[in-house]
Amino acid sequence: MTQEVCGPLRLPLYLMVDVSASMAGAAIEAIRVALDDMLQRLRINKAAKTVHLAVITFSSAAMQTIPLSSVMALKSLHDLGLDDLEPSGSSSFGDALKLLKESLTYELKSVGQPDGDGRPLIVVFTDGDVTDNWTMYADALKDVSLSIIFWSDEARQNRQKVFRDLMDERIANVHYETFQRIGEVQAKIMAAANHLTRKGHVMDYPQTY
Amino acid sequence: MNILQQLIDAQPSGATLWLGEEGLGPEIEGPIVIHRPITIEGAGAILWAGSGPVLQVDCGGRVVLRNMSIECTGASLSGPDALAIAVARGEVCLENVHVTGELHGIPETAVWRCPSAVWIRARAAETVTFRINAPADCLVSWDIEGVGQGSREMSAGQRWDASLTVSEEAVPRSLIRGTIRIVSRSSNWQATIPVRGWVRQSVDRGGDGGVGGEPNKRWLLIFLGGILVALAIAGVAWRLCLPPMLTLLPLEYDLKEMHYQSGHGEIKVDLDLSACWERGSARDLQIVGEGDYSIHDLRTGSKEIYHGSFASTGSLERTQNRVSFTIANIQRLQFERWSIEGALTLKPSDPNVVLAADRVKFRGQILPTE
Repeated sequence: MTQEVCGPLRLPLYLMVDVSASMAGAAIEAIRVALDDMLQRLRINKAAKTVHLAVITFSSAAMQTIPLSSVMALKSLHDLGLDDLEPSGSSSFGDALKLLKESLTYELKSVGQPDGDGRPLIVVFTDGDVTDNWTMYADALKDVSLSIIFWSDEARQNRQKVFRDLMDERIANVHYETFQRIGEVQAKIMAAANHLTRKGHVMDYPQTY
Repeated sequence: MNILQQLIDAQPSGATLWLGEEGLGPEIEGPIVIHRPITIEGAGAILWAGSGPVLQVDCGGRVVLRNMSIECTGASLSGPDALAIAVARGEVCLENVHVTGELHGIPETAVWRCPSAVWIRARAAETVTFRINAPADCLVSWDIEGVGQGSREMSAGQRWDASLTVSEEAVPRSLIRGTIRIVSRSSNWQATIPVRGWVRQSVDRGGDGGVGGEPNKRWLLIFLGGILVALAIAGVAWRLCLPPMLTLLPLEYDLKEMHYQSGHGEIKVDLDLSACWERGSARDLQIVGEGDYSIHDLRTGSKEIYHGSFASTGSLERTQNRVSFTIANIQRLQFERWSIEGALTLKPSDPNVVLAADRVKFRGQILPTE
């Protein structure tokens, strides 16, 4: 993807997608459906024209699939670089956070300033079965707003609890949902986009975002 | 002690441990130590640990590791903590093993180091240089969006100052992303290094720090491969003795009448490749087959029971020109009226063997084991 996008009033939305081997099967299919649904809902909402999307996938290593781009320029999973997901490898969430930090640093401008970008929203899709030491990278992202969508799995609940405890210690503005309740996350993204459009200001939308 | 370590310790010498049959899941946490000469058939599993050695061998015989990834996931580690595989004693044979981290004691490599990632930030038409020190006879290839593709053969101990030029058409602030892949020529292991970054603008200060960050002033990132001298003499001598290379002819195969023996959760796919050879094979080859399959119930037409993917290593023998692959970890093989179909990609162990046809379709009825 090579589109270049810049302009005022951007609401940056970074999607981080776990494509490790443990996500193979139903989990990755659920992500496909959820992301496609999210994209289509955003595209038909005028307020969402401020939303700019970037996607980071992570398995043994993290990779950004598209630069921060207007959601209106993205039509399908193919445009998100997610049409040929093949889960494999371990789950290097720390590497993804490191890449996220680099992307936020490079792609955003004057966050919180009147003519700058809105505070970024980060949505993570994972089963919580993380295989690297990610906490040191989370420490460097204290100011972000984080939503973590867990793929529910009985066998992984203990790991998910450890993951949540470690995350809660580091990032204040984080909340958790399951795939069944992904509509809640979509609604909050739209609330932030509406607020941004209405107020024309980037920092005074609710602290939950 | 983790479950895998208990399983390994319970194996008698010479046994084969099939990770796909143990219900450990695809991502298995280490570290582990192997004290007996055994074979571990990974069936695509990933053995990982936050610090190394992830897998340590300390035994008097030969340990075979097959069809698996071994990943040291701790970033910024060095020394023993960064080791994916460490051989204290014994011999290790790697077959289709993907490594993230350092190797120590593998016959040909001595010690092998590679970075966890390469970052590039350069303008359009700007050239980025980095140095690779080859740990062994290997093929270095890269496929990087915004830069291009290429490959280069390297000999053990060779140093190469690589120059990669960002495409003239690259749009400022677009992504640079891809991989550098290093494949050992004489033993079957490989490493993949992710490459990522952005195309800079003519006057590019990057962002202004985004969320609480500082501007990143790195103009280019240098890839320093491991500083190693491998056991090259034996490898080079072995290479010099190679017979002429072989070529597979057809573009695609459809082996409609193939039948398979089933049992114990696995199916043998036995392919007759004799018609593929342009000229007779001069030596035996190991061929890795990776592919997808689906299983259908013949009693209900073509209803698909389930599907999956597999990776297996087969031996292509000089005298027979046949190769067998194993699709492992298949459950519920109690029915006789099932069929299987799929396709696999062939990857010869010798990268100099050119495969004009590397995609083979297969289809046939599953026959129960006698």
